[in-house]
Amino acid sequence: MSGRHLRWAIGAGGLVLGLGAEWVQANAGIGGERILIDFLVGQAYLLGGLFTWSREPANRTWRCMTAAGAGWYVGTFAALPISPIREAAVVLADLDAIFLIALVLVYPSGRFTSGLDRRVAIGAAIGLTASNVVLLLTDLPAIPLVVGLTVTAAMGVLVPRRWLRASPVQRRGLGPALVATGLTLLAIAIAIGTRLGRVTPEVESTLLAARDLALLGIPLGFVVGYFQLAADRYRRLVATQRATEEELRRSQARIVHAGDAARRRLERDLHDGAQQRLVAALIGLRVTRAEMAERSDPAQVAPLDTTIAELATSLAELRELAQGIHPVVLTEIGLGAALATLADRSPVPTTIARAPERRLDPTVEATAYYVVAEALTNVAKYAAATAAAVDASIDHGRLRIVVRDDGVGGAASRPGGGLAGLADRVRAVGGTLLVDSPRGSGTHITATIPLDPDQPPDEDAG
Amino acid sequence: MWTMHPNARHDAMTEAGRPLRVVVADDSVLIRQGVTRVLSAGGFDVVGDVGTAEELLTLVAGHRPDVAIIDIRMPPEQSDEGLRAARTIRAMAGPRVGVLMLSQYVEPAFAMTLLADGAEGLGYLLKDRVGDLDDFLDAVRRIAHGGSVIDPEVVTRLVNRVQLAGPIDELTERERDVLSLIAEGRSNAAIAGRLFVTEKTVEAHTANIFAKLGLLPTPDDHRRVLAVLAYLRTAGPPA
Repeated sequence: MSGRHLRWAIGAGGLVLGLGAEWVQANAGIGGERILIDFLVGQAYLLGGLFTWSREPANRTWRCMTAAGAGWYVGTFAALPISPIREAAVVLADLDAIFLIALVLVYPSGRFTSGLDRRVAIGAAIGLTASNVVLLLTDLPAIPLVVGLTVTAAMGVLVPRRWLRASPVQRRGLGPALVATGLTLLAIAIAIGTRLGRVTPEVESTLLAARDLALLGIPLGFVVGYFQLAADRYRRLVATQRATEEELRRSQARIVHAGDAARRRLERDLHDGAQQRLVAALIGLRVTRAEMAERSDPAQVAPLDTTIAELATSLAELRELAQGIHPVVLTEIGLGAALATLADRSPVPTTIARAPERRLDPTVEATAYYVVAEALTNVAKYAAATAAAVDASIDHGRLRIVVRDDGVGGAASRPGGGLAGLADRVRAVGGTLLVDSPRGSGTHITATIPLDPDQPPDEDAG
Repeated sequence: MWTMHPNARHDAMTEAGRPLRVVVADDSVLIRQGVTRVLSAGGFDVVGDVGTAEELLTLVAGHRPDVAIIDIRMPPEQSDEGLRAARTIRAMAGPRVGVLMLSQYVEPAFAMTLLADGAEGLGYLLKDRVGDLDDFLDAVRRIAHGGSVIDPEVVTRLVNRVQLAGPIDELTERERDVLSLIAEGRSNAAIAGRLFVTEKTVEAHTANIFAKLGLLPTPDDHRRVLAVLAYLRTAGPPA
């Protein structure tokens, strides 16, 4: 049986149980008002418990509440003169109290927070049941009285203790438990008082009504408490999620930053290492060749020329490679010069309309550079354009880069494609990338990058 | 040992008849040795070679060389120390100390930065060029005598931009060749030698080029370098 069906079955069973109990009370000649209240108290526990149980199936608090509701009606059947129903009802008359105590002690987590709490709950269950057995056999009220008072005293100590030990956040959730304990203590006191039978029927009737009303307040308090906690949890969840998203973005920005730094280092290592050595070797070879050419037959020198040409070509290729790894102009001169270099190298005639004159954060400059580089590569490959234009301007704390062409359009970001990688990179530094490429009307790529990557400007700014 | 042609050797002298004095700054010992070897064989007097910008400035202040050959990237930051040192030297000594910037970057932007305040006695060459012995020595000499030198590959990058449009389209093939050689800092005589034409012909081409591009004719080689480079740098695609 699924949890849902189980709950429906319990709800139906609880209703039948409640109606049965009130039928017994009616036959015993108890007034309609008392019967109604008695019925409602049990149903309040049952419905409140089942409702919150369905919301939090893993939390046992709400099963305790449901059980307390069912237990509420059990004692009533002691008025039936049918054996063994009567005896069973007498023995189990305090099931409601037993589950209520457990409910108060496990709220809100569904688990006992200390061994003492657990021992008290189990002790109360055994003690209350045992005292009812004694009551059934001997009809002596002294022992139930002692047990009841002991349990009441224990609760009166434990719940305030939990309150004192709780953090301010936890205390917000413990309010209903505290109120419930107060009401429970009152209810138990009244129950003991009436069972001792030393009051007039009128007083007893009033006391019982007060007890029932107090008990009616408990499930409501817990349900309200549940909603408070759920709202708290939701707020914390949202806050945590925001913090996680921001941390994720920061970590992506750090990855981008580290990647840029690694490329810069690699370019520098190539430049200061392999390139430098190859240039020195090339110079040495050429000087040697010139010296040889003075003394010997030119035909003997000829093979050296092939080597020199090969070396010169490798050097030129290495230079291109290093430039591709990291554009030195970007670091040394700035975004404007680097964009001009990209435009110079683009096979499609490209103008730079505007470029920031001042230096920007290195990660911002590099991101802008790669946006334009990738966009111009795409223009050359797919757009069939006759011209492209790049515009980079600073506006409200953001660098706005627009690359547009007059080509065929239809560009789209595909997973794993250049544009998607670019969008990831721009997002990582807190920016946005928009691709507008209607078929036949050219492509507009717009990237907006906050100038301070650690403080992305407000979306509505400007 | 390989030696320069005697006539060429003569050019490695000042008017006073002493060899041209050169300092070399590069953090790679191998490169310094290579450059020094080429220069010495070419009849230059290498008065010192150093590995940092700071040492270079001391060396220049002490020796007042005719030309300082400087690596664009040097310790401590391996950034643009060479460029900054060049600017300091020029601020200190003016065009009397020529500066030849050696670089691994085919980047017009770096050359333009070097030439920001004039082109007299300034040069920007790729390091590989040191191995083109005669060309390299010629470049050092031209700089010593106040000329300008821009690496042919850098010029090619500027001239080959597809962006170039408008008046430059009206240049003939031959005029484009002349334009490139002007941008490299060559004199009319040198251009004539390269293209196997007379100097008069080169002058005629030059006049045509300047007229077509709308540039003002200028007698100084190093001024016309700037004019041409500035034109190439800013010329845009068709409107």
